[in-house]
Amino acid sequence: MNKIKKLLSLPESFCLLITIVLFIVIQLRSGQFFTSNNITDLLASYTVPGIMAMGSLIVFISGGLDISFPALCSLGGFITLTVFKDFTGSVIIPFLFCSLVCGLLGMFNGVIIAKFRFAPLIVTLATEALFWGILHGILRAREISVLPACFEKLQDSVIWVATNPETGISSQLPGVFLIFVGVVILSSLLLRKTVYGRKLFAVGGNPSAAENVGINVFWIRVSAYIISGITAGIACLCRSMIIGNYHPNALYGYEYNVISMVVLGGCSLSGGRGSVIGTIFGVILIQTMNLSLTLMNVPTYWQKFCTGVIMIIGISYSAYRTMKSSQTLSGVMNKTDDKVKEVK
Amino acid sequence: MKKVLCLLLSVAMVLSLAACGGSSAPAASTETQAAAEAPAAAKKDYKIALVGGETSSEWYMRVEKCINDYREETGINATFNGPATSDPTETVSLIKDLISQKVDALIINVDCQDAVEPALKDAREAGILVISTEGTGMTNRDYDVEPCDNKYYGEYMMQGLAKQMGEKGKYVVMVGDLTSTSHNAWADAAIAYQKENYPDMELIDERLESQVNAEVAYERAKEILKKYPDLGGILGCSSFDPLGASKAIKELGLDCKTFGNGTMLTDEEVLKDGTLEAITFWDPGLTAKATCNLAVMILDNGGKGDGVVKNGMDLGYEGYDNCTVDGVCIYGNALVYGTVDNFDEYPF
Repeated sequence: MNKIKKLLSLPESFCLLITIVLFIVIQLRSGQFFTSNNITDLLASYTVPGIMAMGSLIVFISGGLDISFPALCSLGGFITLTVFKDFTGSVIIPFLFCSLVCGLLGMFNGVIIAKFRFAPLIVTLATEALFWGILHGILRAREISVLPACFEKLQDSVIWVATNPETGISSQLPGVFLIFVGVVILSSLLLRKTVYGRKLFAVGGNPSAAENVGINVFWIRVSAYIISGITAGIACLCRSMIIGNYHPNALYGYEYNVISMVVLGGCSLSGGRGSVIGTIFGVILIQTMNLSLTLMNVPTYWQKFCTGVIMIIGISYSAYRTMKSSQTLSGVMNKTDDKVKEVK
Repeated sequence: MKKVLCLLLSVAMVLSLAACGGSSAPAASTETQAAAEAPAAAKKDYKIALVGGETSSEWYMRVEKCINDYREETGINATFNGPATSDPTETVSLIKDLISQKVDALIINVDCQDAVEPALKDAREAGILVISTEGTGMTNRDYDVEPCDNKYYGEYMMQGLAKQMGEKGKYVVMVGDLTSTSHNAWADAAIAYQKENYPDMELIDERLESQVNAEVAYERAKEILKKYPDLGGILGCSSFDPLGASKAIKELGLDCKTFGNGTMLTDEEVLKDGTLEAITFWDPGLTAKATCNLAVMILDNGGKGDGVVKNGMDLGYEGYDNCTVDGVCIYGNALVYGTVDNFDEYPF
């Protein structure tokens, strides 16, 4: 019983709980939720926000915040698609190139923030404007509706095709979904199994303590922004491949979507706490909700309203949990203080 | 050091903003050149500024190119000004800048029409001739030029869709934005036309919103097709709707048709691989040129449209040579049926 209680007190479990309730409501209202093709569609739709959320999560854990990533990756993506316009070699090369460009842009963010200890919100707000400015003003970015030939094979690859026997509709899970799976596994290993991951948590939780035990706080912070840049760059290329079209403004405003997924998944805004599994629940919750309101007969006018309500419930619950846990924590600390006094 | 960097960052921000408005800056230099080259045509020394939508879209790039051509062809000082994103505040400040530059005429071709109304009121009070295009619902303007009237456009789209669907089956309408005046007027006209002329077609009464984004159009189309697998047609009003919808139809392997507003470049892939049969659009550059001509005609007439604006008037370009006038709205007849065959004629 205690174990269940403990499980329920985790911020992730709340997100999971709303997600399950949502699934059931959608199934009851439409009778179409638990069909193979619907699940396939939803899985495919997690790819882009999911990859971005992993980078965002790592930045949050390190105690930072990055809102510039949609601008950053639109810029990196445009440069990549332009440079590799007539390239016919392996698809890995444009991906590596895009990661390099976006990683450098992320490093630019990270160095300014970590070196001068500016508020990350202000810095990334500024660099966001800067990146959009470069993209539109200097590069005069335009829509690219035919992607380079090297992407074709990956773009056309399909993991499975699910057909709904009743309606005859078939949905495909595109090959790029595997990239999402790969990014999730890597992030999870990085955070859970490596020394670097532990350092990230340490820096986000208490930077001065981390510094005292000899962690290079500066580089840990910078590296988090580099990772955020790289994941966003990969996500941008994946998005272009799924829809077969690159548009410079397609990801405009996407940061709010991704950040709310990460926060709903129980990640702390002040750093040091968050998990890959919670973030995935956040992605599933918001994305499923966005994509199922039509299925549930919610009129288009009301869809934004519903999204808002569920987000308020979710975020206020995580905030409540955080408040409670910090209260217990300070309670424990007070008790220790008392004990210290007693000893004295 | 911190202060220096703070300063650098803010400079960077300002610079990036300046870069966003980059389209108007180089135009300003050519402005003076054009004015210098045509001193004889003193009568025609008007400053005409067109305010368009986001400069990254092919649509507005076409407008920009045609305005630049117009300036070269006629020697009239016409410029294109557009924001980098679809954020209305950026457009409003652009209009305010143009008012303080004392242009003679403003041509407004934007999506965020309600947001710019107050700024346009200021412009008119400052004595500037304001002409809107694609904005029949606007109020603070002297005249409005349309490639065709909204009713005709809606009916035209419905005819195209009905032909592809064999005049029977269920269909649904997708608009870019539920608040877009033009999209919803087309949709209403299309639906009314269907009810009158195609009794075997049935409207699914849900207006989908694609947020003028191909990815959203694709997701919405997939959802509605899941709910109504026997759907026969999707009428798309935003220029990204046919792309998104036809991708969804292709993926789901259904026999559903899409017709609507598109552009050749956006739909290049799906038109060429046969997923999408046809799209319709007008040439926004031609509308812009015709509107510039209208502005010159009115300015020549001392800023008054009386006597100049009348039924059957000729704005000097194909499709605008025999316009219909209804109040302050001037309608041309300039729709294009775009298929893979006339692809190369419309490079935007």
